[in-house]
This record gives sequence, C-alpha cells and structure tokens, in this order.
Amino acid sequence: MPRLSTRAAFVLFIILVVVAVAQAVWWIVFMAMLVDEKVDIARDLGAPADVVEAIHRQEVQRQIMVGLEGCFFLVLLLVGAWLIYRALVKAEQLKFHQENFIMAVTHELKTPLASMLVSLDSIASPRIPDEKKQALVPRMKDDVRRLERIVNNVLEAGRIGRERAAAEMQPVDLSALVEKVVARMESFSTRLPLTVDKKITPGVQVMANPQSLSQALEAVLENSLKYHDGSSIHISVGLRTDSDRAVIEVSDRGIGLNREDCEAVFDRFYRVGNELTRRTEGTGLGLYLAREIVRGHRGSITAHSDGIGKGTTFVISLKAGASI
Amino acid sequence: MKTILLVEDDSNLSQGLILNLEAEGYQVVHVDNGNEVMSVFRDGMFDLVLLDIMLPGVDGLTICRQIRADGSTVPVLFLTARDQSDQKVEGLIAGGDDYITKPFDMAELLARLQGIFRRQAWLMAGESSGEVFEFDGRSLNYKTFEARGPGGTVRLTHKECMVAKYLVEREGEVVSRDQLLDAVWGYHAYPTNRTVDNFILKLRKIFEEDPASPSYFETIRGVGYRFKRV
Repeated sequence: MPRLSTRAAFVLFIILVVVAVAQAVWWIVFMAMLVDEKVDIARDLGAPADVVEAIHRQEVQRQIMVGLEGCFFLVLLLVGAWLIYRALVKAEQLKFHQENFIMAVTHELKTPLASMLVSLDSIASPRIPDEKKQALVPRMKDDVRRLERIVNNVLEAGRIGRERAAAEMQPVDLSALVEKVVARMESFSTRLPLTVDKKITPGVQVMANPQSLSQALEAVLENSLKYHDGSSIHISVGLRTDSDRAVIEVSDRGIGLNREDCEAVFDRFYRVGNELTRRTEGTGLGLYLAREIVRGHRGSITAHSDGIGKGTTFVISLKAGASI
Repeated sequence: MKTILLVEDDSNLSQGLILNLEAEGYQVVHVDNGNEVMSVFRDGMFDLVLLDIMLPGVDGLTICRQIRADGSTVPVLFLTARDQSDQKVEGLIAGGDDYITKPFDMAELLARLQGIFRRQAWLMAGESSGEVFEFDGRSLNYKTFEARGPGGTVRLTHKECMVAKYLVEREGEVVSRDQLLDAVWGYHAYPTNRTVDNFILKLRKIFEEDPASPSYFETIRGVGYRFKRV
C-alpha cells in the first residue's frame, strides 16, 4: 500500500524537521555570540560596569524574545508539515480503497452477469439435456438477486440515507424487526453449518425507518456470515434495553479484526486486505451504509474484537421509546 | 479427452462452465480458491488451466507465475472481470496465453479454447518426433525449449519457442508482425506489435554473434522479420 508520493512526503517532512532543528541550534549559538560581541564593544568603548551589565541584560532579554518567536514559528512550520503529511497519507489510503472498490464492484457486477450469460447459453445449447436446464432457473434467480443487492448498495451509498431515514421515522417494534431480519438470514444458503443464538427482549420500541434499519442490520449480519473461521458459522444476536437505549449486539466466532480495522470497517469502500486475493464477496459499502443509517437514527454502531481469529461483536445503540 | 483445470471462486459461474465444458467433451477439475490450486495442479495432468484472477487466498496472476516457475508450459487462459488493457498485459506477462473478460459468450470461450489447443498442437508437432532444429552450430529444441547459441544454452519460454518455430518453418520468407501475432497469440490480437519486437530481440541475443547487426533474424523494414541461414 505505501506509494511513492507518501514516501516522498514523509522524506520531505523529515528533512523539514532536521532543517528546523539545525536552524534553532544555529540561532541559539549565533545569538549568544551576538550578546557577547555587544558587551565587548561597550566595554571597549569604556562604558561603566553597570551600563555594560544593563546592556547585557537588555540584549539577553531581546534575544530570548526573538528566540521564542523563532521557536514558535518553527513549531508552526512543523505542525503544518505534519498536517500536510497526514493529509497525503489519508489521500493515498482513500485512493487505495477506491481502487479496491472499483475492482470489487467490477467483479461483483460482472461475475453474476457472466454466470447468467453462461446459463442462457446453456439453455440455448442443444447439447445440454432438458433436465439440467431446469436446474439453471434458481441459479439465474440467485444471480439476479446478487446484482440487485449490489446495485441497491451502490445507489444507497450515493444517496446517503441520513436525511431520508429521519424523514420517514415511525414507531417500530424493534424486537419484531430483529426477529424478521434474523429469520431471513437463517434462510440463506451457506456452505458451512450455521448456528444462530437469539436473545431478544420482546416489545422493545424505537422510532425508526424500518426499511433502512433492516438494511443496516442485514449488513451487519451479512458481515458475520461472510467472515467465518472456515469451519462453521456461529452467530449470536441479542436485543436488550439499557436505561433509555435499545442495544442490538451481533457477535460471531469468525476471523476477527485488529484494532485499526475495528474503526476502519465503517469507512466507505473499506475492505480488509487486497481485492486481488479477496476472501469474500462484497464492495466495502455494507457497513458504511449501516453506520450512516444508524447515525441517521441518532444512534451509534461500533465493532469490537479481541484480535485476529477471535471473532467480532457489533453493537448498535438506539434511543429506546416510541417518541422522538 | 482433454482435461481442464477450472479455477473460479463463484459457485454459480463455475457450475455453468462445468456443464457447458463437459457437454463439449472436456473433462473438468474445479478448484474454488487460490490456496489449493498448485497442489491440485501438481497432482494432475491438465491440458489447460482456466484461471480467474481475483481469487480468495492467492490471486490468479501469482498462480500463473508459479505454474511457469514449475517449468510447466500448460496453456493458461485467464477468465477475468478486469478489462483494462494494462491489466490484460499484466496477465500475459505473468505467463498467460490468452484472456477472456466477463461476461462472455460460451461460443467465444469455446473458440478461444480451440484456438489455444490448435496452436499447442502445432508447437507439439515438432515435439512428438523430438525435433531439434540445428543451423550453423546453433540449435533449437522444440521439446525442451532449449536454445543453443554462441553465448551458451538458454531455456526459452513457451511463446518465445513458438515465435522462433514460426520463423524457422518459413525460412527465407518475410513474416509480418500480424502473422506472428495471429499464429502465436491468436486472432483477437495481443495489445501491441511491440511485443513481437521484444521477442525477436530475445532470440537475437541468443543466436546472433552481434545482436545489433543480426544475420539470422533480420528485420525487413515496414514489413516484419525473416529467418535465414548465413
């Protein structure tokens, strides 16, 4: 991921630091020499000792002031250089994630299209028996649903649903909503055995846009489904109230996250790792949308993990109660 | 029956491809992730590898490089969603023989496969008789891909051997770059004619006393190349 421009910016920053420190040392030495010089001149001109002393004091004070101003300027310069460096690094990271996003979307859109085209060619082929052609229909439907999901995500990301969510708030039975989304997830076909533990407090009410909130919860659950440990999928879904908050917790025993990724997973286009060696399907938009939607509900979403291989827990916190 | 190693992580697409390829008389072995490809490849005998680039574990480009590093000349056809020309070149530089971008027609994929097998059969025509072409103390072995020149013996790549063979078989004739592209890479064209020039440069380094003023692999200005014995 490190690119030349980031490295160049870092080298420039280090050079600035070295120059600034050298300049500061030079000022201190130079100013000390200047004070001594002036005192010597006053002494040579036969000035009385108290006058020489006064000149010395005055010069030292003046030089300290100039020195402090110089140091302040240097600090400003260094802070500026540091900020520029940080901005460049961020820009590089964003570029990397955008490139990854383009690759992911290209792959996610073109693969189901390719699959559908191959299925259509199979239906048209006289060499393939009719009974095998029948089996292609559910596969093609699955491809269409995959395309629909990605198109919806990309469109939704363009809209950024905060205002929309806020405009369509209504009293929602959160317990029923969570049950419904989890039941839908359980119906997904997964290659590995799926176990879902539910601990849902009944009758929890919130003000929400039910479609958006379902989408956010689906994104979180989909994440837990995808990032399994390779042997089985075990997901726990909890809903409880905590004083005036409704708290949804989704935990898995999957591959886990390191500390930086716990925050970064909610960034737009962010996907852990490199797209060329993508471990899972996805575009890096699902959790970004989940965060935007939850924020649109004036709630919060956080990811927690004890590290790689130790599973991940997502916590969504919303204001409880069917009133704004 | 020809056996194809299909490396594709998408289950729906893989099943569709297997159905069609088997209907066309190919035997297909399927691997759905990058980590297992090399062990499956080393354990089996494959006539072609149909390789996706974006894969879980190890990417297709790295796999192709590993296949070539193993010394295998099995044709590799990239199956990729990436359609930028530099990305295609990347695949060919990695040792791929051809590429097809998703989505594609099965008819086109089958035509590409047949083209690859046809070119392979042409190259192997010398191989079956263990043919070694010798000229002026130099030699070119179509079986081992070994080329011996004044500087010693060098192992050519699959494509380099094909370029040399095509020119040698037309000794004395002028061959255009397009003819070489068609014969070695296929009709749908490699991104640039410059590629051919680079292959000729490599052959000159091996066979010529002075590659700057070639005696065997001549450039015919504005047309192409000609092989002749001194």
